[in-house]
Amino acid sequence: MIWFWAACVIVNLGGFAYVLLGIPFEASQGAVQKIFFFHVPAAFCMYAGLFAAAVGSVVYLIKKSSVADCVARAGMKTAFVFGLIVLTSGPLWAKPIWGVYWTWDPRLTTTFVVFLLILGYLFARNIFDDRQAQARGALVGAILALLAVAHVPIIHLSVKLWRGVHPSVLRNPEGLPPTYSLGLQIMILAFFLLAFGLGYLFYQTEKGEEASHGNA
Amino acid sequence: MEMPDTYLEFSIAFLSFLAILLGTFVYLYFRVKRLEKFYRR
Repeated sequence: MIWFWAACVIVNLGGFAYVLLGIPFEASQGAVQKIFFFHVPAAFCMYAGLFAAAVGSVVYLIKKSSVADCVARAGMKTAFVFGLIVLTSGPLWAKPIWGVYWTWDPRLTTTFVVFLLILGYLFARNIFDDRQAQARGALVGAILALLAVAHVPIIHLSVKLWRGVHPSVLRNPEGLPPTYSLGLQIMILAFFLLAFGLGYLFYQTEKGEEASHGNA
Repeated sequence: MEMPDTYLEFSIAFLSFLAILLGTFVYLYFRVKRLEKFYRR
């Protein structure tokens, strides 16, 4: 695992060095445009965490496997971390560009709803923490995880479906300039490595916690 | 057109990102410590 973390740190540092120092500022937005390079990858990692949580939840519902439940919890915690990055960086970009921190644009609203579902999941798992109630907590959690992942395509397509103010440069036919596109690709790779590493650590702690419940 | 000065917003966003990451690792550290204590008992 040490090699994985070394690779993760190198790719992240290299990626940040490239996008922060190697790419010139965008003329109409200035420095704040650079938020894009970690806002978008964080959103993708949130989707990935939700997807892992949904797969874990479905497997848990079918097989009642505690490993699948640990995967679901780890996935949801990963989604929470990256969701938090998305929801803090987005408004800080929006303030100088749109003039407001928050507006009820379809993509912002759907992302907010998913974040509430993630919070609901984490609270539900904490409330049903003792051994007897754990199965009930896992069931409630699985339902919330499936609801949250069902929102992912809605978030992604919301820009097209309802034409809000949120930019969709990835779907723009003119696309991004090559340097921006390369920077984004490096950062997506870097963030996926980070998300996988964090997800794995969350999984290990969940498994340890599960085993400690069994031994208690 | 003059480039707007948005260094402050970017800095806050970047520091928030680092803080969230640091917070996550601190959380993981304390969970591992708690589990270690449990298994040592």
